[in-house]
Amino acid sequence: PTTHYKITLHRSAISLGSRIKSTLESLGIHRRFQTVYHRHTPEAAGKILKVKELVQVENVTTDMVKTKQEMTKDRKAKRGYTVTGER
Amino acid sequence: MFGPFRASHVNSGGLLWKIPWKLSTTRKANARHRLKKVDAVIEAVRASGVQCAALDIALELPKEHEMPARDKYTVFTPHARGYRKGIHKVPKWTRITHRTNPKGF
Repeated sequence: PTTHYKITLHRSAISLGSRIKSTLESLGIHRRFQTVYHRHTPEAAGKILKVKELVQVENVTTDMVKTKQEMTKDRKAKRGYTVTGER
Repeated sequence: MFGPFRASHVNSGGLLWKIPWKLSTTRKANARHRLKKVDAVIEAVRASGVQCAALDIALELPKEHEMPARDKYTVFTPHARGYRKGIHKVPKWTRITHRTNPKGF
């Protein structure tokens, strides 16, 4: 049972007006290709439909929801070594 | 060199605004692809099960496969012969929704 929207901005809102830009701000999206998670609510649905030409949406379950720190950690490249001790 | 104004011979004025009257095959394909992406967004919101007025309005829009080619690549205009112009002449046409035209045109 999916509980969240996974919203990714693919097209910018440059020169689309303050209403669309405010909608993206209220969704918490600041730049292209940023991903944000929102619960299934009528408010979130209305905001998505306001900017439907700019975003891509996926329905995900609660365990797939990631915080900003978790998404940053996933993007990071793994070190080619592990630290076992000092000196 | 790129953009709406292209340099032409200085003798004939220097600047010429050349925009093709119809879309090329590539542009049409990209337009269809964008329509399908918007359909996918509306479908995702519908599948989530929430109810809102914006969704009711969005579901009334025709889907890409339901649209006639006329509506995908041209829009109504009262000023031209045939009452149609290319959709690429609409500002921000790649980022706005324009699927329906007045009935009969």
